[in-house]
Amino acid sequence: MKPDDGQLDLERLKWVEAPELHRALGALRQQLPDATQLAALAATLSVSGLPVQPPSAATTKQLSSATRLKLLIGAGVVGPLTLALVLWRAEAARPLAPVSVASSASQRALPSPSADAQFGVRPTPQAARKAGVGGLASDPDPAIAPLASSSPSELEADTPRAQHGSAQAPPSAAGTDAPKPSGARVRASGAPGADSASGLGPGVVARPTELALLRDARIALRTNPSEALALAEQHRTSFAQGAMVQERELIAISALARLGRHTAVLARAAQFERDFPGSPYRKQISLLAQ
Amino acid sequence: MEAAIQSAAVPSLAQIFEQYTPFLWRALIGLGVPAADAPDLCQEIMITVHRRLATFDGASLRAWLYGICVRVASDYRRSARVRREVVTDSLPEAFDSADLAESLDRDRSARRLLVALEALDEAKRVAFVLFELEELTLAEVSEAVGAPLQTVYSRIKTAREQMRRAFAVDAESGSKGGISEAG
Repeated sequence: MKPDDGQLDLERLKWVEAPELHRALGALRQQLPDATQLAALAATLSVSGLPVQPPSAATTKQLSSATRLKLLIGAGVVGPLTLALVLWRAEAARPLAPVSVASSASQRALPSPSADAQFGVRPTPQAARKAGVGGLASDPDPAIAPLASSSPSELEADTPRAQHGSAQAPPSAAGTDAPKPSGARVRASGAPGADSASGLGPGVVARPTELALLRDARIALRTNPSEALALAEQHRTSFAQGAMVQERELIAISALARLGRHTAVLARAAQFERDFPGSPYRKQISLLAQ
Repeated sequence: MEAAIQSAAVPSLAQIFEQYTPFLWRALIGLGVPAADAPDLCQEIMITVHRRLATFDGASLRAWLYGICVRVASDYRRSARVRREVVTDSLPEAFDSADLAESLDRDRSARRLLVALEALDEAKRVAFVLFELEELTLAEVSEAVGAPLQTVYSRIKTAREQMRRAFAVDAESGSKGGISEAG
């Protein structure tokens, strides 16, 4: 006879009962989306008219500075999408009505300039160069050596596809990438978060390209780490003195980790630590290198 | 004051998004949704939440949310007729080099679990995932799936035993549970 509902109880699986299964559960439990994936999702939802915000707005007080920065970068990487949040706020009376991202916005939602300053999104491009990674294109750095030397053919093979991918999102990313066609205008007019942080001011011609490249790399990271790596490499050559070198490295190292190239991860992570000892990404990168 | 209590009892969509999305995302993967499709399905969940939040009766928000998550995942799998290979694509490929990082080893372990979960029937998989992975209470699982407590209880017990055997067989035979076949 089964016990009454009121007495029915069940303990969770114990390690001693099935160590491997218990361990696998623990491993699967860690398969959580990262901050940029959440930011992209929030932005997509806001495009649909749902009153959600990228986590950077509401949860920063609960997060480490590294996570906050990553969230901000995530918001920057999905810049065109975050603008939709602004537009949604302006049209809050139209729930679930897709909004146009082509119109201009007088303000932006995230990240705020003060938040940029607070979290130190980027010291300056000059600082990046000084730190040694910015000049990689002309002066090969040990940090890139594992990437370049371990599978040059892969990079060569992937790069054309990656460039193509900049204009055409992978099918699986279509959901989060819907406003892309208007991206350049959106970024130029309404989502200068990273721009202001890097001190480039109104120089919006080149900046969206850097943002777009890293956005594509970040999106590709979910489904195609090889392509993400190729895009990161493209960023390295095209924006050797770019303002988002640390973010590029984070993406590249994440991609290497997902590709199982642990030796390259270790080497590149070590170089990152040397180049950016005070980086808020250090913890994330050291986790990847574990 | 009443309004404040009310709002504390039923969080806003923004609060729900913040607090639950990562876990609903993970649950989707546990329920057999490829990681690449998790964003789309999370979006679907949140749209459903947005539409129905006003009718939420306040019993257990967590159970209610996971209930939506389970239905979305179930619909997806039915419509997509997801093949096992697709599920195993949810996580990185199997690695065999000697210098595997612990994090990659964790991925492999999680992947092995996903492969084993494919052998469960849907109801048992749902019960197992909600109870053992997401750590809902028995009552919450019951509420989420709309099944009696005792039914859920036996589903979890059966699923757990089946999973335990699957992992034991793998250990005996040295098989990786199909992991090495991926790709």
